[in-house]
Amino acid sequence: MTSSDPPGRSSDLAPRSADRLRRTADPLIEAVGLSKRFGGFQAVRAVDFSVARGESFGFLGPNGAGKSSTMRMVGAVSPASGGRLRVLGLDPAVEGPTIRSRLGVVPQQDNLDLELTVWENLYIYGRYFGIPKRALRPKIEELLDFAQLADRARDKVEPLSGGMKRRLTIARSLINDPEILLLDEPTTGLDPQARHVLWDRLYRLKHQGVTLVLTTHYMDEAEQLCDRLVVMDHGEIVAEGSPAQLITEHVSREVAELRFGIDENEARAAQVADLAERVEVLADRLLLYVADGEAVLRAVHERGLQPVSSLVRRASLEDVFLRLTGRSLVD
Amino acid sequence: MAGRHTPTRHLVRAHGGGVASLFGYSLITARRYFKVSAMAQLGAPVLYLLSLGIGLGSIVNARSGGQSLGTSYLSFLAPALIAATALQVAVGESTYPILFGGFKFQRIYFAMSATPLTAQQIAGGVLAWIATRAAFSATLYLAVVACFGGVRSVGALLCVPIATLGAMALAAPIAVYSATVETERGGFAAIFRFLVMPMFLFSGTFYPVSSLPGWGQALAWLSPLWHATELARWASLGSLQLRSGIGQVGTAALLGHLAFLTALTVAGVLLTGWRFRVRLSK
Ligand SMILES: Nc1ncnc2c1ncn2[C@@H]1O[C@H](COP(=O)(O)OP(=O)(O)O)[C@@H](O)[C@H]1O
Ligand SMILES: [Mg+2]
Repeated sequence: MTSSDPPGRSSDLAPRSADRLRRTADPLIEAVGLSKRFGGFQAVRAVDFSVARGESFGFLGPNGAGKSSTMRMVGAVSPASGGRLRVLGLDPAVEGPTIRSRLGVVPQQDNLDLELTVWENLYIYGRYFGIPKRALRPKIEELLDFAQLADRARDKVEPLSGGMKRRLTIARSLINDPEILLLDEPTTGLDPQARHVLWDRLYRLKHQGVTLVLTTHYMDEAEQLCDRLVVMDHGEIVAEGSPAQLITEHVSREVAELRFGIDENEARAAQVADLAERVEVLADRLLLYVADGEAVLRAVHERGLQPVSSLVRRASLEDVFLRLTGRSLVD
Repeated sequence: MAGRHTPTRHLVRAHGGGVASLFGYSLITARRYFKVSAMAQLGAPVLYLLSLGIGLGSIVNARSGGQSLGTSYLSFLAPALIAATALQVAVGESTYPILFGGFKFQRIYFAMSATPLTAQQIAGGVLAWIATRAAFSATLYLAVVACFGGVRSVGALLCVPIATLGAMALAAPIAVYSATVETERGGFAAIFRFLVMPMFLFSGTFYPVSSLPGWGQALAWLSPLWHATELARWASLGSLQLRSGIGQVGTAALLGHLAFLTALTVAGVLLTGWRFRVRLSK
């Protein structure tokens, strides 16, 4: 970081030199061989990724994949055990406070002050960033509107619903106009309606050009929100691409699901294997990866096989994960 | 909703709001409880002073006690009670609130650690607040003592900083423990029962430690409260040159008391910062 390049302004300035031009194209986050160890246990195993300005980037993986550990390193709170990490061009080990002053963080577990009011939670958080009181008043009003909490401003946080608390945590993370917003499992544990409200809010941020980095173990969330994502498992990145790319690359276009009954699935798999590019045998059903699902269903029936139920759907990231790891995302 | 946007990015300070912003947070929380806690903090000294200073004092003073002390029992007792109260308040603040509110349940320190604030600043803010609470209690207590006529010199005002230092000499090391334990299994209760309570009883609060056998006096030496009590009596009664010698502390002893309390406080503050850093950066 040179002194001629004030924090966070590189993209706003007209590039005057080749050096500056290169700098603006630099990724906001860059990790090479990034690792995290807890004692003898390696939670993150030499992962490489980079996030560009304005992008929505996701880590998709099951519990224990190492998503939170990675996010905490990017958030400059947890030191890397190995590899190279740059956030906003800075080294978290050296310039943690400066990096954190330019990030917004929504942790996996809410850590709001339950005894304070909604308004007070936003206010004190803004003060931690050194933002003067006068500037905080209008900012808090804006964020309360954004989080649809304006009518709860004077209420304590404790009795708020899970969805409201989550929206407040997101509002709080925006108090400093962050250049990057880190969201660790933003909707885990929320009911479907609350999740949709939250997605809508995140969409807005995305359209305002905020760089989003999120983790999730919901494939629908990853598909909804991420321009690009990496699939993580056991501390490693096993695939990378846009949701559509990942599906094209690793699985077929459609999936035919057949349920024959618990004991029969395994035996039937052999009888239909030649109809599909690939067959997955799950406890309760068979997944046939195919280009044309309806045609395959007809072929199954023509062989005299009568599944208890069947359906055809588009292949999803869940299928990608199953393909890559042999397991399903949500256990 | 229109995309209204109030810019704050240019107002953010790369090193955040520092300990002052943490202090602002504590003030907001305290405002909530101010009435309740001020009442509780006034109630205790009034009861203590009535029952011990006045009640027990009337017996002590009537017998030869008053004469051998050279001053009223109330004025002898008050500096020690001020120091003891500050200590109890500070220990209370450095146990459950740190582990439960800070690290385990509300996890507010983790929220703070995602901002530009450093772990050392967070620890510093917490300890500075505990010291403020202790000083506040000591001031309140002193005011009550004055109302009961137990203050004999302006030097008694020094009881406030002395009591605060004595309180931090115990509370800061306890904060190290609170920032370290993962699960509370009665450790805090043990601190109150086996550390704070005996300290209160055997630190020369109610009678000079010279009345204790040798081992008792040796133990008192280890007690931050005894050092604070000696200093508080010196501040309140030293200038009166009492024939009993109460409140008389030589320069070397004076420096010794201060050095002991300061060393414990400084060690506690540094180690608390370290424990906060370790725990917040997992
Ligand atoms: N502070 C810690 N100490 C020891 N092990 C940890 C710690 N944090 C996480 N882990 C372990 O590291 C692995 C990855 O955890 P995490 O990053 O939380 O995964 P995810 O967010 O993908 O669920 C898990 O096996 C978890 O138990
Ligand atoms: Mg996680």
